[in-house]
Amino acid sequence: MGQFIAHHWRDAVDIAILAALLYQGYRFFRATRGARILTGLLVLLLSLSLVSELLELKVINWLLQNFSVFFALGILIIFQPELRRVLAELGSHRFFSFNGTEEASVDELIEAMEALSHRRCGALFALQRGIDLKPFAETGVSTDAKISTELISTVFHPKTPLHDGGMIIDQGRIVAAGCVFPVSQRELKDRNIGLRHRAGIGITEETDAIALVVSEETGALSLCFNGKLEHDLEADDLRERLHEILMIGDLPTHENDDAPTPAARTED
Amino acid sequence: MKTTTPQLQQLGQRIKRMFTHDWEAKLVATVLAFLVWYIVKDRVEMAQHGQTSASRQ
Repeated sequence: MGQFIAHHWRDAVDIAILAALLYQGYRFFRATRGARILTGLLVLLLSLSLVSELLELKVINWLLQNFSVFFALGILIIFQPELRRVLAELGSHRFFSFNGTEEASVDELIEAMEALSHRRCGALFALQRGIDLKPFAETGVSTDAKISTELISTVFHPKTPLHDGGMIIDQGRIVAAGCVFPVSQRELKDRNIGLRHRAGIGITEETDAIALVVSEETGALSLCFNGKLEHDLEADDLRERLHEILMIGDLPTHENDDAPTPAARTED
Repeated sequence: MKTTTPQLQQLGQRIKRMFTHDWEAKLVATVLAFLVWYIVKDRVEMAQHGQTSASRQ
């Protein structure tokens, strides 16, 4: 047994690394709009390779071998947004790290969201984690203010200039308001999801931030994380989920990878 | 840095989650990884043998 391990531990490490890479690849691509293209390409390539191997078709084999560079380039172009996200996450070094957002400010934020929800005021927040949201903060107005229910309610009041953008929060402070977030281009099962929610999903697709959304139409509270939307949460559930993500780091207990929104509603 | 019990618990939860969360996909990835490794390893070994015999000749 000891000899077997001594001889084969390198193989085990090889397989473990390969498995981790395959799984992470699958995780990143399964909920993206390119997933179908990738599946189609893989099925086509695998079946062509299999047929050409079995029937010893030399021309197909040659073509497959010589055009593999172009296939690789094609994949790079198709999955450019997803690859960018993977690299951004790798560079964020947030493994086993804890966020500095204080518990009190999370409570204050949720209180503000509840108040906005009761008044049917739409709102969008991005909680910064490992990846710097400065590029997005620069699209809005720098505030650098302490989180308070009153301030948030004022910013998101429909008659104010900053109400239409997103608010960036870092370490318990409002960094900027009126910011423009990238809108997710992903195919959503619920086609009625509005731009505010799409922007919430969008920023979590490109960064490791957590986005919180208050629906203007229904007052529903939602949380976006890792490009997934958890829709229509109760304030307590939202608080619990936020703590889970901020403390444990990853992931949804009620994860829904293929369908970013469980409830079908018309939003904002 | 002092390691506190809640931090250890969180670490434990993370490790447990590493194996239990989405285990079907992880199992499929492992099986696929084994197949890829097996095929590639075979080819690499064949190529190495080919090189060795060629250099001998």
